[in-house]
Amino acid sequence: MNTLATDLTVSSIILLILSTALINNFVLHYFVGICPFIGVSRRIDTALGMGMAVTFVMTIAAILTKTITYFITGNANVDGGAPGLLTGTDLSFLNYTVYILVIAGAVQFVEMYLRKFFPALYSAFGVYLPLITTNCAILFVCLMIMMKGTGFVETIAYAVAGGLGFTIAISIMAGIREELDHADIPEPLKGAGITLIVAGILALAFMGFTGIGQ
Amino acid sequence: MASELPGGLQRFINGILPENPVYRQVLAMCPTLAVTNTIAGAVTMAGATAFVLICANVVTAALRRLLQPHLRILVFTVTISAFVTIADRMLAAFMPAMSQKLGPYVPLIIVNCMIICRCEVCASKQGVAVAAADALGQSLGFLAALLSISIVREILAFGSIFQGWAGANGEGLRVLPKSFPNWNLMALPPGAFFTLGILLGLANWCVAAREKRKTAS
Amino acid sequence: MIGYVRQASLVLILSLVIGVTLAAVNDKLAPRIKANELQAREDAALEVVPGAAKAEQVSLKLTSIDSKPKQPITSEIDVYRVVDENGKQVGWAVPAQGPGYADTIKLTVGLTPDAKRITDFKVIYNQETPGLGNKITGKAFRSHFAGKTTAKELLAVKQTTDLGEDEVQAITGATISSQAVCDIIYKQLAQTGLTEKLAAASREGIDENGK
Repeated sequence: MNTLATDLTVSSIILLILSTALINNFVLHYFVGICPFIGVSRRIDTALGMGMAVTFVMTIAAILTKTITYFITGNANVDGGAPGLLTGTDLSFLNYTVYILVIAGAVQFVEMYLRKFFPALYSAFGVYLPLITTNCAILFVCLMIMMKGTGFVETIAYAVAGGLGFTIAISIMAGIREELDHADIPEPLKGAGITLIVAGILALAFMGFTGIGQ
Repeated sequence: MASELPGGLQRFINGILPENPVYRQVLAMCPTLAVTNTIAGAVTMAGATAFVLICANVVTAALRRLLQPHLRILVFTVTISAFVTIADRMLAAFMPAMSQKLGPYVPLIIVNCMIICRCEVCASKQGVAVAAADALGQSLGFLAALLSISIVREILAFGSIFQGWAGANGEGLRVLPKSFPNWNLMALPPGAFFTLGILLGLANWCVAAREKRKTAS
Repeated sequence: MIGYVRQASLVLILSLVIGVTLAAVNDKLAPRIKANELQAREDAALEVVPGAAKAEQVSLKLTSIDSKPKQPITSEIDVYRVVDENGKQVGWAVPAQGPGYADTIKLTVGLTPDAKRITDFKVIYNQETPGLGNKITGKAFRSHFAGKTTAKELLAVKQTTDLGEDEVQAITGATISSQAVCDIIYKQLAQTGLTEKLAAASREGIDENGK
């Protein structure tokens, strides 16, 4: 269910959020953000902190890259192509490089800003910030927004919902892994193996959400 | 320090099996899971990744004496993203159908941890030739991993191999009897997780068994 | 300050070199990528109309009929006029897209010259469930659409015989994907008033050829 292309109404935004967070879950459907999913998630509070940090950076990165694409570099993926509003030329071949630099820069600035002005927030998820520069989920959001050519409101909704979906998946996984530590797992499957198989079962469960918007 | 690092040949061999990026280092999970429902997709992905990895490794190795320690990650990222853009444009120009099928996963090579890891571990410390050998070895290892997963998934999901490449209308070569019902789940996300999880377990089991034999003898 | 610049010099020079390289690569490949897209659309246009030899792109201005018609929105749509070897028009190929079961489905729909009947359609893009929903790309499902009307809402039904001109046989286990294709085709053709435009354009075209 994709509602990115339809007219902007409250119900379409709600559908967009539902489909992004649950049906096309970033981790379980698109496989992005798998690294922290396998590596970091062991305790629920850690997973929640990580999820919050990712959602936060994702939203900021999505808004920044959308703005840059719209005003400067342009987007060749929408029908007929859309050159940058201020430059008037199609610089979309620079998009990938620009996006990854914006993400790396944004993470640094967010970290500094939070440490200075919101120490409470920083202590909640600041430590995860440096880890997520190379989190593919962040770049993935920016790319999807470019490829689908969404408007600004949908961009924000998509990024927040994507982060929400990531948080849901990683938190569920953390809860399961707390239990898995006490389970008798065959030696070769310990670690990544069993995590992937559990993720497969989770993905199967999440497939039940498909068609929810119909 | 430099003398302790493995040479080119050793790096090349290491990349294929002993330090296989997917099975031994558990890196690059995202493309490994996402594009392996057909062999054609997996091979194209491995090819694009190999192109980026080899180019990025060579450039990094050539620039290694100029690298500022605190800016090195930035240099790696910019270099990688440039080659990814080139690979992406090439795919769109010469293999449009495949480019559409792989979609966002081609640009996502930028954040493939395997590439940045090779730049950091090998190319920023050793010469161009060693870096090239290392990249080649890792690429072959990556190709082997993607192939193994995609073969399992494609056979179980569609009962055929080389979909899109061989057979009438690109239906592929039938390997299972017609009576085998298509196990669609294997082409879907859960199938990716199950296949990789089980193959990873098998790989671990093989390594453990070999080490046991070594210590016994 | 100079210290900063010296530290960053490698990054700056590298960025410049990369920028120029990418621009050059893009310059070389962009026409080819564009041509690929056009070729894919043209191939689809030739495939969906029987007896087609050539397809030429035509831009049509549309006034969309919105539910709140305060201000009619005009939009442009690129369709293909499909002609046979003698240059006689045999049909139209029209792009259409809409929500499917998993993601947007993009189609090219083939129509008769008077735009009253569907000839065939081709799926350009879909992410439907492999093995179930993605059977919408298959010949079997496509063949059900030949000769169906464009004037009434199409229905994907379970029965296999006695199908009306507005009914097509649904794919077993993928009713939603089947109905989605029907809806996409109907919405694109009827709600925007496209069929009348196409029919009018055909009449004009015939007149021109008649002279």
